[in-house]
Amino acid sequence: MKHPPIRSDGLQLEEPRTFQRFFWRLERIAWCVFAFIVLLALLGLTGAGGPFSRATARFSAGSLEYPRIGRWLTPDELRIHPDASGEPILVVLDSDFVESYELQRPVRGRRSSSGFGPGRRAFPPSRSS
Amino acid sequence: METVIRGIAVYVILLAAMRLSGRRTLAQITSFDFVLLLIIAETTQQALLGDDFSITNAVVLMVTLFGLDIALSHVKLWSPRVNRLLDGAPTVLISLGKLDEEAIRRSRVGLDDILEAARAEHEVERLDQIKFAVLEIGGAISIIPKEPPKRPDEE
Repeated sequence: MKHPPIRSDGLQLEEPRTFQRFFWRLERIAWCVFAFIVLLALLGLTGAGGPFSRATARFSAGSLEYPRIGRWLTPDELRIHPDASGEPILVVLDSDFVESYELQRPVRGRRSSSGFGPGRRAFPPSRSS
Repeated sequence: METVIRGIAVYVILLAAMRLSGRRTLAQITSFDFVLLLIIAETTQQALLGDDFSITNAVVLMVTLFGLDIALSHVKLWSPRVNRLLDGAPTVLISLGKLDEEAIRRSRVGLDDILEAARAEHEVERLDQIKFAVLEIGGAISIIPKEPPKRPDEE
């Protein structure tokens, strides 16, 4: 059994000051990381709302608004904004996407949806905005 | 399988966050700490159980957490370094009546905390009557006074 050393001031305890200093510094770094995570969350970069939580991709007949970060078991929206031309838009979803996400039927103006083989679906939405 | 992974993940994250937020955080329970503890418990509950509220899931989770705890205690016994990293080490705040300002500042202990512990434990009135003050691993401050205070009936 190893006994703790007796210090020069007479206390019998082991106080590894080098380790303490290292850990105090680590603590301060961790607090910065905590603050950084909160900041990311406030900016919307951890998903679920916030100024940067959604991104937009343009395509020939309109644009697609999508969440940058998705959360597990949390519903999210893909919004399609068609251009003024009013041409029908055919949305084709990749099979990987359909495998990892559960799709619910499109909201507003659902005309028809048809299968494209296993794991592929297309929704031609009408103009929504 | 998922429950075990969830259990381990939440345990490790919570352990790291608690340890890194500093030992004073949950050491002496004030009303704020109590609220914090309640909220943390509530928040982790969902992450631990997911959407499966079966007894099987609860049992698997409990056994996982107990198992982790037992495993960690063995690792701590086996390796003093891991023990120090997980539990910390005592910090001497006052040595032979001399304040260690670095230690006091870095471990976020106020002089009033030291005086409070001194009053509560040893009926010590002033700072200069304290020989040693040590911030223990659990977050309590232990005090060794310079000389034992005299009892009124001894005079």
